[in-house]
Amino acid sequence: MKHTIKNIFKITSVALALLCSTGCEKVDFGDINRDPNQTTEPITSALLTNALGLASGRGIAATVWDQGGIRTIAGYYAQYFSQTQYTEFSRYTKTTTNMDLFYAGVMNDLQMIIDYNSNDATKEQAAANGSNNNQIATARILKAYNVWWMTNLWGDIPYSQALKGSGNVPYDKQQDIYKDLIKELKEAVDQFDGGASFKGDILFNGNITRWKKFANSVRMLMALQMSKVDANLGKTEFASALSHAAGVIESGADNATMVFPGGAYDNDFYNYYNVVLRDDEAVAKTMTDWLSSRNDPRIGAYGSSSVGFPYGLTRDNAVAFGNANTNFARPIHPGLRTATSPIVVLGAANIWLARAEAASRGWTAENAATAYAKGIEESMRQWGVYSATGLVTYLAQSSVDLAAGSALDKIINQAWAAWYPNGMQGWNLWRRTNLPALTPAPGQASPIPRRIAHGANEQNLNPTNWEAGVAGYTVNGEKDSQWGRMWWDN
Amino acid sequence: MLFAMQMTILLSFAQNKTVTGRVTDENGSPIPFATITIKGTKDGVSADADGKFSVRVKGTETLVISAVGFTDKEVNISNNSNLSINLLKSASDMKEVIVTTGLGIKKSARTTPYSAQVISSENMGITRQNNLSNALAGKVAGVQSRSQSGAKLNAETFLRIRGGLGIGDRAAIFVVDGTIANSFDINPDDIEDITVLKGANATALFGSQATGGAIVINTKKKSGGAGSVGIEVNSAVTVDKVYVLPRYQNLYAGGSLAELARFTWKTGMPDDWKALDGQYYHDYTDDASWGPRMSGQQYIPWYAWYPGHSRSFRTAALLPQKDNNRDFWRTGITTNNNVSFSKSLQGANVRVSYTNQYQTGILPNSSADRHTLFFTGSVDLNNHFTVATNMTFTSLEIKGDFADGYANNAGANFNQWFHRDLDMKLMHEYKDLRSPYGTMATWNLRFNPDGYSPAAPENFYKGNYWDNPYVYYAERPRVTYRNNMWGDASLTYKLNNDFRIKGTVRKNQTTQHFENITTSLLQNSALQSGNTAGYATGEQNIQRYDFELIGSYNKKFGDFAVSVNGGGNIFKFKQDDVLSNTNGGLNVPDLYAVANSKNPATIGNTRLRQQINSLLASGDIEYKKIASVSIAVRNDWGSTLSDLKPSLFYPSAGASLVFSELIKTRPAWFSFGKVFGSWGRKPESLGIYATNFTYAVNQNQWNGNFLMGVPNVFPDPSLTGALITTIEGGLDLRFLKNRMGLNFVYFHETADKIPVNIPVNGASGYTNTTINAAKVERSGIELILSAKPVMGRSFTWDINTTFAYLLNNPVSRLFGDQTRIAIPLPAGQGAFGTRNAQAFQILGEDWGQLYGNGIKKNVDGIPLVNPATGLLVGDPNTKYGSIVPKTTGGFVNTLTYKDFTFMFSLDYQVGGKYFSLSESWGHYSGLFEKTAAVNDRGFNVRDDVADGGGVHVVGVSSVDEKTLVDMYVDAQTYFHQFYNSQIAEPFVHDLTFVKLREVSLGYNIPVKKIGNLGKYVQGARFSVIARNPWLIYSDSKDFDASEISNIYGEDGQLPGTRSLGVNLSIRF
Repeated sequence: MKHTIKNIFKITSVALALLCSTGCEKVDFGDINRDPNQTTEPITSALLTNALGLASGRGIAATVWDQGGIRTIAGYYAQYFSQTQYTEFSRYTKTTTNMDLFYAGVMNDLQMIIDYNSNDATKEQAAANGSNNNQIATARILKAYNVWWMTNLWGDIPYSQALKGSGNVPYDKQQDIYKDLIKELKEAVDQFDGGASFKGDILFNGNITRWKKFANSVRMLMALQMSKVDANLGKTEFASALSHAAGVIESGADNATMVFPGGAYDNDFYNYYNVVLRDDEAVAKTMTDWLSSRNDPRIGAYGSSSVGFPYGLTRDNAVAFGNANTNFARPIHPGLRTATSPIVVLGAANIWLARAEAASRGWTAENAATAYAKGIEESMRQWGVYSATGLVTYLAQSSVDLAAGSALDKIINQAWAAWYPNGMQGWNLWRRTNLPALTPAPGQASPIPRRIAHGANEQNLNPTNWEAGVAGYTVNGEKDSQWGRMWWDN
Repeated sequence: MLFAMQMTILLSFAQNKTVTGRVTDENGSPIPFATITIKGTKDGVSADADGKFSVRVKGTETLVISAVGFTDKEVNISNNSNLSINLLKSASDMKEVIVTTGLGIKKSARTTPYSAQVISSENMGITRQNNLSNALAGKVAGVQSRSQSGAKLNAETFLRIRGGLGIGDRAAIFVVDGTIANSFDINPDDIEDITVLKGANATALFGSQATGGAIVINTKKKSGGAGSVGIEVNSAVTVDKVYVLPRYQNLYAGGSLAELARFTWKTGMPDDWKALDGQYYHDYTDDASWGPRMSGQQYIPWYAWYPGHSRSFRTAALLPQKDNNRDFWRTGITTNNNVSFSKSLQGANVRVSYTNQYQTGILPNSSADRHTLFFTGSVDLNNHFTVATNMTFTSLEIKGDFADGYANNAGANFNQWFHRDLDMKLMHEYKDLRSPYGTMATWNLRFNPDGYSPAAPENFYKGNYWDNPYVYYAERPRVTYRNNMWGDASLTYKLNNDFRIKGTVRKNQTTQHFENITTSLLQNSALQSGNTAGYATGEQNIQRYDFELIGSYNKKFGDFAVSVNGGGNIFKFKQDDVLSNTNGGLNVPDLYAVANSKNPATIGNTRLRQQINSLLASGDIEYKKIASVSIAVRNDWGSTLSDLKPSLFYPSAGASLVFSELIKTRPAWFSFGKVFGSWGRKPESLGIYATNFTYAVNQNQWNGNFLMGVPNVFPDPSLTGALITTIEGGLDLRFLKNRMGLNFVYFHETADKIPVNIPVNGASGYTNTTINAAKVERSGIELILSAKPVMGRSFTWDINTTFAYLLNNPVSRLFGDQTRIAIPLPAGQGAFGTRNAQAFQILGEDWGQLYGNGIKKNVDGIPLVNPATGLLVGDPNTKYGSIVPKTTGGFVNTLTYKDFTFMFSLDYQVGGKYFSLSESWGHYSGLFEKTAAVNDRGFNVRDDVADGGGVHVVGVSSVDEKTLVDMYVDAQTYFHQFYNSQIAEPFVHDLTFVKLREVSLGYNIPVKKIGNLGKYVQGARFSVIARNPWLIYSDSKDFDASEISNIYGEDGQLPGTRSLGVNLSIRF
């Protein structure tokens, strides 16, 4: 027996020796754990195309309208649209949305462009797609634009410590974010150099001048958004952006317009109505009434008909109305929502009307009426309904004519109409100015929401910071409330 | 190999003469591990698992052959050098139970140091289940079968062993004759026995694939004794009918409007419609059932608007159709025919088995046709070499199988969105009915007749959300062909009886082809159904190889038996998928080809590769079959592992002691007692490409610009594989001459720093990270009790019961400051789950907590009610409890009276939570019974509150949480609030159930007594079988808690079925 045990030990030690003779080293398996379908190096131009065209849903055009998503819901609150079948959200059922995919999608694509062009090890390789400075500047502008709309929905959000790989990210105050975004836009505009422009730019096709105008224009809108809380800073920044040598968006040629190639990348409205075949959205009667009361020619472009859908009906009433009016107005005239129809993200109309408002507030020395008329003209041009005589007649109406009184009110009303179908912007405007005067959904005790609440991921994945980040948004005992107010809405 | 040679050199013995032999029972079946000793000495050997042995002797000794359950026998060697030894069963003893572990090593359960439950083919095949995992339900201690309806074709039941470990859920693997296979490719008729291995100590030799446990299957190798020919024919027909369905309300019709609307004919409408002028209709557009009360009043049914049939433009009586859901489902028929041939000769045996299982599904147009050919054979080439092979070839064709889930057109449609007034027979009758515009007729019209527009008349006839379900399934033909081949070929070199080397090549290859069509008719017929005409096809090819070389040494030294196995294994995995589908519709209608895609077609492929090289060894020393010590070690070098830790080493060790042998004055009633304990580790490897951080290129360019996104998953650079540790101990006791047996096991497992892909806050730039995170432990007890209460000459009764209780399953560490992590859901599962209830891992709590928005209550537990509206208040942090049932168990009873055998199995589960999405929507849509119940004032809840109706709500005011609120709330408002306020609580239930799962009554036809039949037929048996005959208890009466297949619950899945059938088996 002794002999046996000795043998067993011998065997075991030989076995272990064998294990160790090979086991203490790595076996070379070659490339078999490297996915042959993917590359290890990012191509920055492809990241830019992705950030503009596809990231986080459907790219920058989805910030205007996202087929029933959060940006569309903002359009219910602005009463651009009304739900026609399941009407919960146009009746203010709480909606919650996670921010994750926006950070991990478009924002991280842009951050990667910045990092790849900044890092000494990779910047030379990245320069194949445009000068490092031009790439970084473009990415900074787009990042600032995306953070801007995000903070306008949720308020305080992770910003300064975001996109650094760690999930434990504190929230920044909205006022601090605004200040930093303005700084970013300023610096980015000045960062462009004379080198090659950024490849893969499907928004401005590498036209740096247009990027600068876009950045200055976004800066003006940010400044204006502060009118209620920090008019001094707003005024300074507005004027600074407006007087910047690179200029701002002034005509349709400068517009930030997403042009869809069709096929795999088609217009969002076309996709919704012609591919996915949904029918849940209608132009709200609030909008059609506003347009028809001013004999506004845009009514023919904004919807498939001029029959607006009464805002915020209960399901029963919505179904009944839909049946009685099968030709109710679906958003955007079908001729303007083909597969390749463009979507204007930010247009000259919006900027002129912002200038009119600034002038009216005394922030600039510009003539408010001139800017106002220019804004309406650009909007009509944008929708293909402009005629010189038509504009004159339109402007002469007392409901439109600034000289007839309530100038600021009229300017903001026109700005609201011109932002259509960009619901976030319409809602921004309403929250800041309470204009136009909107009536909440009928029979609904709750007022119009003023904020979007966070989805469950924030609570689950960033609990401590979420707790602190939503501390200012408790309303009637409800944490993270949709009636919490933005810094600029106080 | 070197290792094997070392052993040969170290261990060699010499005697004079070799005697070989084989030990069998009365029927010629081998008796494994019989002990062969030389009389008068302590020298001897053990037979192998096939009963074979060889022993070196001087030449004149007498051999004593003994085995558990058999009477000892003495054999004189004389001149005989090849013995055939028959042992007689001893009356009261139980048969030796043989456990199969890694490397195909067979051990006697008598000395196994860890839990390894063996299920015999009789107990497993009570009713010849179509699906192996369903056959195991309730029969294995500590296994929860998260099963799917038997009606779901091609479904792999998820077996969760001993609770949860890690972050996601993981299932056990199935190992057939040493080769890993898919459970639904395994033909239950070819199974001899099953060993279920649970802890790390038991599965260590299987490597990282068996982290969730292993179901080890031995196939039948031979039948009858040496030289005899065995032919078996086994035929069954079963009929499946839908069993549990939700309880519906049968008072109110479809639509959202509580009153019938009057139809007024207007100029421009079709002239035929004049006949309906002044008649009434209910809202066709809404797919809920909040419509008018059904009292037999005349109304215009949906089909009346379509011309060209006998009921066109005619009214009908509005009546409830209480069985309309049940009527939809077909009676499924399954035929199962198996024939097998086997023959054993001296040194050789073969078995060939062919099975055809043809199942018509309960869903119209669905079927599964499976052919299985199985071959096993082994030949002793000479005294040293044996060549053997096991081969299974399965070909499967599945037609019309659909993924279930939210808003699918059957299970979900009828329970989530439907009209309670729809007559399924008429729905079937009108499946070919078309509108004047060629679109199919549907019950769910986009517009009511007042919305008829002469400008676009075709729009009136289009479907809103839903199609006629019969048309829907006919117009979405889909077929999957699947060929699966697996098996092994081995060559064994037997140097002498003590030492052998076995080389084995294993392969498991699956090729699959599918074609899915959505017809142009379907696209043209609906406005919002989302059915785009299209064609998708794809191929999948999966290949797994194992190359094994194992040396074994078995020897008896006096009272000690030594067994050592060692060798190496190379595992290779290769998967290639090619997939293409049309996008955005078809250019040429009804032409189903990828090239006919309206938008650029998707063309994609996947390539996965993996290799693991392993060295492994195991050793056992046994003393007199009383005490034993076992060790096993394995080291893996895996291609998926990171450079930081390129290999994983995992040892295990255990010991057992048959203490009853040590008790000198053992009472007569105490037959056997064993105590065992073990410790072991098993690896948690990394997934293929888990360490990669790479960029994919989008197939579609944007005006010549290509697109690339930063990946959303970030692999932690320090990511490595990890080890799971199991400690286990137990007792095995038998009493009253083995008529009662009790097996008790306690286990504790720890998984620490396991590599997991977990969601991370998106502000990091990523949605997920792969990281070594989390510590999860689990401990529990398992009990197996067997008894023979009656053991008469003509009547016997056998009971086998299992019981398991999960003591705890805590998550003691997560990642960073995260306190909870959502359990990742497989693709396609969990739509809307995040709005309602979702399963999380929560720090400090048991694995798999169902959390969600519940009903907010005050300190006394009274619900808060908004005093103005009567609506409940949501509480987002409501904890419902773990999704894992604490207690699982089952009974198998076998009663034999003369030639009759009655068997039944019953199983149960206690605890565990699930959320039903169908139930949530079914209440929203006014389909379920409660939405039209009678309230305590004697009125229907749907009656106006002012008239005595409404749902009675009692609670405290949400304002001060004190003042009593007692009011009635309009039914639709009340039942809509749960979705609107995202409250899941009323739809969360216990997974507790008690189910009579299988019943079989068999009759052994006395062939020997029927004329000359006995000359040709050895045996015949006829059985009547029933599956799922009785769900005795289920917390929710609307769903079968034993068939909840998703991790967090029910999601529109197919209804369960109840089957009745007959089975005839004949042995020639």
